[in-house]
Amino acid sequence: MTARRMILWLPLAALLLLLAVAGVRLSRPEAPLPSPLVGKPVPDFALPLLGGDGVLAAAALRGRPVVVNVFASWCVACAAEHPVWLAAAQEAEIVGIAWMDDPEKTRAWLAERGDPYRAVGVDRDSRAALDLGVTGAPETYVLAADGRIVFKFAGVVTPEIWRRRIRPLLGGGS
Amino acid sequence: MRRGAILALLLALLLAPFPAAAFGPDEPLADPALEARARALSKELRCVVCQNQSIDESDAELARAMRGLVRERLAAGDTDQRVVAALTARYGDFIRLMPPVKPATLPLWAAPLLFLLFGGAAWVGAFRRRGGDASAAAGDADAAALPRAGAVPLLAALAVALGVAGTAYLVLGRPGLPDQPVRPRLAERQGVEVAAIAEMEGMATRLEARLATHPGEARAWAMLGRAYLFLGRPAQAAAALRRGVDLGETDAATQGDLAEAMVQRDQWVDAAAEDIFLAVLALAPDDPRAGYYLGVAALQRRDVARALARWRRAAAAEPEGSPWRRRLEFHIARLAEMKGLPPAP
Repeated sequence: MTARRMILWLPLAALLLLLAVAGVRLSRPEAPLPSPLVGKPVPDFALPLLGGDGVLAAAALRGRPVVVNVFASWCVACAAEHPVWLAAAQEAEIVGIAWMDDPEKTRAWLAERGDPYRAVGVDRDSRAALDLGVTGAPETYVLAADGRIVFKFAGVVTPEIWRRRIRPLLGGGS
Repeated sequence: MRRGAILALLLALLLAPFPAAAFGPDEPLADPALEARARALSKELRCVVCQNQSIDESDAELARAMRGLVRERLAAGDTDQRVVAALTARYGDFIRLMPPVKPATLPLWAAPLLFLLFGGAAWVGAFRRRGGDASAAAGDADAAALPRAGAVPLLAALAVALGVAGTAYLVLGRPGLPDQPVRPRLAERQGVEVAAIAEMEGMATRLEARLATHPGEARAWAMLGRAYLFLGRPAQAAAALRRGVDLGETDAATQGDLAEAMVQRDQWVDAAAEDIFLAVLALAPDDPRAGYYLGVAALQRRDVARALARWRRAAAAEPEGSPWRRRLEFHIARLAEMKGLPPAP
């Protein structure tokens, strides 16, 4: 009989649980969106190089692990994570995508802060950004040697994130 | 680094009072059927920047780029499904405002139905027992007592649900808030009646038609540019005003409007705009707008002293309490405070 009574409290319990979960989830800062591209081959983008006539093509990034960093001179958070890339450039190949940015301003920005990028692709009209599923800057992707995206991070990469989550992914090939 | 970030933020704020570029389709497709499909699709796709707007409603840059992509793919002959599939492959189901029915979303779609069934069953069960069915009473002596005993937890659940929903609605609900289509939004931003926006759009259309046949009329180009500027279309405004100035409308007001359109378009005071503002000051030394933007340009170069000097001079030339003067004084005070300087020289 008591079991039967207990069942009657079930809706209330379920409701309180729902409210608790909603309360916790709503009060926490937004979690980054999961990207369906992780584990998939990198979309085949090709961008003009900053300050050159070459092309930054996704296909040319195969064969070794590469970090792709989406940044812009208008992006305040990108300036915040920039020192991480300057330090990381010594132990990894980092490629930049200058997103929705005037090449002149990108160049000036890099001249002022230092240029950690092996190459920078100019993506003024979000061509590559839409292919990569970019939702904002900065955003960082790690490509494995076989061209798969093995990691995506939206937001400012801290030294901690670099050490713990990105660098281990680069270990084998570089 | 920190100071640089603050300065960058300040710059963004200085340029922020001006409306950002476009709403709605920027380059509508020539084929009306295709364009209708593009609009319909855009309404179903989520702007990943704003997250609760469709890309059709959003004026975020990324939404604009996505609208372009949708139109491009439709023009290339893709079906609606393929366009959505291509975007889903990159952004996930999140990109769709209406979640698809599939195993992962089954709880989402099924939950309301399950709640309804469960509640209905409980209701019917309680009702039957109250009816005092003889056989049920015989089989279970406790059954007759159950409805009353069961009413407490169920009523409690109901009270909690209604209480929470009611409180949330009272706190967060805005039943009177209408959604804001483009024209009222513009009207609010410009501080005018909605009818004035429609009138301005009509004027722009008439001017466009006139200039199609009489492209040499400098005044008409300048007027068209001003209309575009008013309507929050700075790229078109800059192009039209440029034509007007090149054709001889070189007075301070027109040149100033041209430079302002360029600034709104780029969200940056570049060298070309700066040159024009300097030319405006040569014609009208007290022009507050030119002084203001030349100050912003100095600030872009991190030249705080020069920015302050420009703004102070412009403010001093304006009558006490005028909108420009108030605005300039506000920015002078803020910049001075940030730099630890006294607001007055």
